[in-house]
Amino acid sequence: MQSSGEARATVAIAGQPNTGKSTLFNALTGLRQAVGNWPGKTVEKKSGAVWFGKDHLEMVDLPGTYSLTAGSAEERIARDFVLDGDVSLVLVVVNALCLERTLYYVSEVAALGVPYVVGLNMMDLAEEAGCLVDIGHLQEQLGVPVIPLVASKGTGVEKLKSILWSQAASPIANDAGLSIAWLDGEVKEIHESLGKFLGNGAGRGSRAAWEALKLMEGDADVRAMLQAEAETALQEADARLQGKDSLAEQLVAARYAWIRKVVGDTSPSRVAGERTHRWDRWATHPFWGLWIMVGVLLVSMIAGLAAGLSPAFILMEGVFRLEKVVFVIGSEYVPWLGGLLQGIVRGAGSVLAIVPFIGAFHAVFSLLEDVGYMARIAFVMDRFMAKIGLSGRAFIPFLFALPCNISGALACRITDSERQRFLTTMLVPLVPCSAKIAVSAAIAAWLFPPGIAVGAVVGLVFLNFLLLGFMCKLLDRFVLKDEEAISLIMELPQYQRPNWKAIARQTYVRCVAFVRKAGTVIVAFSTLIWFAAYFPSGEINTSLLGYVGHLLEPLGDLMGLDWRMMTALFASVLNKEAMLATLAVIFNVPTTDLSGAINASISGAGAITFIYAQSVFLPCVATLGIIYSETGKRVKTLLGILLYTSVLSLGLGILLYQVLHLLID
Amino acid sequence: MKAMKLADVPQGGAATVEEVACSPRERSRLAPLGIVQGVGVEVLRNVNRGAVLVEVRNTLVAMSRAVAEGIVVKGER
Ligand SMILES: Nc1nc2c(ncn2[C@@H]2O[C@H](COP(=O)(O)OP(=O)(O)OP(=O)(O)O)[C@@H](O)[C@H]2O)c(=O)[nH]1
Ligand SMILES: [Mg+2]
Repeated sequence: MQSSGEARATVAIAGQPNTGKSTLFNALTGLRQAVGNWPGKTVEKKSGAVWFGKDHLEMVDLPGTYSLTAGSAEERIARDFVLDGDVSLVLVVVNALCLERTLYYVSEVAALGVPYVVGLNMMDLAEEAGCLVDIGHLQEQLGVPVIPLVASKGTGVEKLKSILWSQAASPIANDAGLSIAWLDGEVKEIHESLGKFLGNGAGRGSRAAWEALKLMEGDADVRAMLQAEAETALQEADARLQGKDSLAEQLVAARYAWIRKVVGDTSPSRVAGERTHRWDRWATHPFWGLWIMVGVLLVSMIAGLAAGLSPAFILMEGVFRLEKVVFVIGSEYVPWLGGLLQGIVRGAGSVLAIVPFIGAFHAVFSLLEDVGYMARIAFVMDRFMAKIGLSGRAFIPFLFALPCNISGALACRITDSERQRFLTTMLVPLVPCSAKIAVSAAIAAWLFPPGIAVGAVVGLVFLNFLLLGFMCKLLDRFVLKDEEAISLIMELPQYQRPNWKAIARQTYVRCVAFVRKAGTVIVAFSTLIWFAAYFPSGEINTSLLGYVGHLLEPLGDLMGLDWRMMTALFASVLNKEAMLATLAVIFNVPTTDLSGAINASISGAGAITFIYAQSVFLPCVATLGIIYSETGKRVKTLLGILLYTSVLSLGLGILLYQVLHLLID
Repeated sequence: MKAMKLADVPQGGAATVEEVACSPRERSRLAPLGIVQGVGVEVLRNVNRGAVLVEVRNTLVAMSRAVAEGIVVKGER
């Protein structure tokens, strides 16, 4: 029924964050773009088709941005697509409940000269709040179609489709010159002269008008763009802007004056609904808010563990059996083939085994996000994050990193500036992932009585976060010393009832993203490392890996660890949850007898040092792979991480052992 | 009615923004959230060192204390 071929036109879905763009995109295309009650949910553009018989339009869902002034990578994606992309029509989504604010984006697009229509979303909430929007008035003032919608229920989507179709065929022209009628007086004069001037450059057309606007607002990005493209024009423009310091404010004032005119007599009630106010009295309370958060997070962790752990163990058990079988079969042919096959099975198996676990945690996190609580966590944490030069938003990637560092590395994009993204990406490896915690707990349980073991693990987690804070300050001070810290400025969404379908979809999307992104890296690297563990002899003791372990023996001596522990430590780069299995292989005992074997081979001080060192040792290869693919300064970031984790684990490890050795051995 | 910082408006108070004296980056983020000269804000949450929560144009906006220190307002109480 659907024929492929060229799309008739491209329609960008743009607007402020959390207005329901992705929900609308899904309703239009039938795809499953992740949605969430968190401003800044979408971080990459995604396209899909809306079909009209045999023809189709290409829809592109963009990250939400408050304006067309970009300060982060996501905002640049959205801005550049609207500016330079081959867009025939922009569907600007606004929130009927916060019309004044969300129309700000319309004022931007109107000034840009691209044809647009307005999707007036969240009509259900507006009606509930008794906030009547005069759609006729809006339409008349804007001169473009305004379509009322309830994207989450699909209301109005059919009508929107037909309007998109007819508009994309013959859009109502958006004469930017006319639309910037909201300028007047001195600002208008300056704008016109600047616009003419920049337009003279290289046939930029209506874009010059927008650039002029942004220069007047002091947009650093646009300035840099012009610096590269039209330097002389920029110098002239600057001469004209000399001494006009309040231009930016005048422009903003003009925008809002226009917006008020466009909105007309819409009666805004007090919107942040009763429910939101009632709940925020607790959730944002300086004292209770913190403890509620701690409670919610603890319950979330326990729920995630309870739901995800046993399937993970069962799957892992299956993987161990399977890898023994393929090892035996492979080794019959060529000695090293067994190790290779085992590595592949282990790699693929560990991805598989961790999926239910990741799924459980993401289900819980998605629930927190969907009801609107995640944003409150950012609010509550801001006070603490500010101490280390980050904003409350940056806490979220660290939270996601607790079950698995990979999820944390993937979540670093939701921070709102490059600086924060860099810092969080660098530091995610210091968040002890569940696998590291499990290993620490197992070893602690062998060494200490239960009470002390629990205390030791909790203390270790605490220490990890302390180191994280310390490293953050260090990076802030010495690496990013020239960059402006961006403090928290964030819209808190309304609380809403959980939308189970959206939560399920989101969990699914995240699991798929995890398997797709982590899968290849994990399988590739496990193959490599297991090859190293079995080549050439088929035994870890005499393999390449064992050889490296022996080489490290002098280093191990300083930390009270013999070559077997050092090998296990280095092999943990493969994957953390296999640490105990690796130890069992090296000591050549079943996992159940491991506690005796380890107790016999290292001292108490050595054991504590080992628990510490493995908790801050290099992250697993999958995390490193994701970090590599997620960052701009790839090599630098990776080297930085390798460097600091080595120093923290080995350097501080030596120190720790030497002190402990004197004290307790 | 005297000029003060938004960070000094007591919790539960209301104020009108006089001047947004933050960095250009911050200003360009605050403006589309509705925080501009002349707008009325209600302070929902403001205690010693935590972030400040205000309601402005029907939107809840959270900002670090540092940001609220840079917003000059006229108190209404
Ligand atoms: N009540 C109601 N909720 C909606 C409606 N449309 C979307 N939502 C909810 O609003 C939240 C945000 O939706 P998204 O589609 O993720 O918003 P977005 O505009 O893509 O957000 P960003 O990607 O952050 O820019 C989700 O929790 C949706 O379920 C609507 O019409 N009514
Ligand atoms: Mg989105």
